[in-house]
Amino acid sequence: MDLTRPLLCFIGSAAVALRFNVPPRALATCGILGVMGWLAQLHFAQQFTAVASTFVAALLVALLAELMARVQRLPVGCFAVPGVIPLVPGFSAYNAMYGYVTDQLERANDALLQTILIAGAISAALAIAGSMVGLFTRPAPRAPTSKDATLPSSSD
Amino acid sequence: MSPATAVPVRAEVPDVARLLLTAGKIMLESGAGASRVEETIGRMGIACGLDEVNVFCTLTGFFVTLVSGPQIVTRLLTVKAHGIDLGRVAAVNALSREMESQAIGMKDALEALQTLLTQRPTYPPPLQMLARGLSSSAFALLMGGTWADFLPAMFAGLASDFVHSRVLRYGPEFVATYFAALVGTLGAVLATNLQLAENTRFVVIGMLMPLVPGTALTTAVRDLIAGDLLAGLSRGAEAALSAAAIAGGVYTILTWFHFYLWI
Repeated sequence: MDLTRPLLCFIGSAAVALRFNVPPRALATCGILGVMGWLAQLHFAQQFTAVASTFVAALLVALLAELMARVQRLPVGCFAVPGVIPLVPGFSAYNAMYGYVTDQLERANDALLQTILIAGAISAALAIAGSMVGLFTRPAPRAPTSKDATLPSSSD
Repeated sequence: MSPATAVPVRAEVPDVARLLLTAGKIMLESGAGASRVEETIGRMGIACGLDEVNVFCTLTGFFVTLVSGPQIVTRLLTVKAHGIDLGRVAAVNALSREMESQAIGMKDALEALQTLLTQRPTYPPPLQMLARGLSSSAFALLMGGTWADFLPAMFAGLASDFVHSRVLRYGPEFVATYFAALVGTLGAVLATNLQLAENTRFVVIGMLMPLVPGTALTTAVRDLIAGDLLAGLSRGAEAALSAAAIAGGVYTILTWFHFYLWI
């Protein structure tokens, strides 16, 4: 198996993590998450549409990011952001731009819709993973608010 | 001051306010989500022995109301974003957990925050820029480019990151992203026409993939899920604006050159 492209994907994700100042101990994890998401997308694209395969891949990345955030005690964003970067629909975004420039409007509209749907699939996957994990773990300790508040009386 | 005596007496509410405002300022400046800011500040306030902490956080600032016995302090702080530094967000978050377990006192925490405020970023800016260029060339090849596109994509990424950070000093994020995409695409088109790169499209795609508002999108979604609808929606608007700016930058250069050069 040719390892060049997974290695490129690893470098790309880890470099994005470095650009966003993710702490050094998390860089390798970010790279691995990026590769896993990309491989999953490649695998599921054999049976599903581009949107569906990106959704499944992003869901995998987001769930693993939630897990690694708890293992390494870092915010989820440190892992989720570099992890989903390889799934970004750069190709269809470029095709949309190119179509509009060369006046091939139908092709461009298709590519634009594809881009928007893939971006929506990524954000939906992030949202679903975040709320799914929230269901099964104990909620983050919230500060007491107005329920048990010592509100100022109106005579003040 | 030892940790055992670090729990403040009631007279120190303004000091606690200063601590919480510094923490929130660092987090918001580094691109943290509103739900995380609220959680961290609330945890710190309770660790300092307050009766009640109310935080309301938006994209550009936050309010806190602190209650301790008869004392009530409300402060408002507006913040201008300075770019994305996830390491800083992680550091403040870790500090709040240490305070919660009483491993660190209030004075030490404030000192730690002050050093964090003046400290240089985790990685020196040239290294960050180099990483941005490297990620561009990696994605250019991953999307189907050839090895000839490696160096052009790296320089396009470097140039766009340089322009982005420079314009960000004088203008809003939207304008900076527009010019970053513009300069990166210009570099890609020129490199192809000078026979340095083989595929304009893959160089451009590699250049723009790390430029997409991934952090804004992720925090927007997480804020919306956590119920911080106002911050989530405004962060989502920021992400949409950035995406539009990238599209505009690429479109400008492609339109310009389509009529003069063969791309």
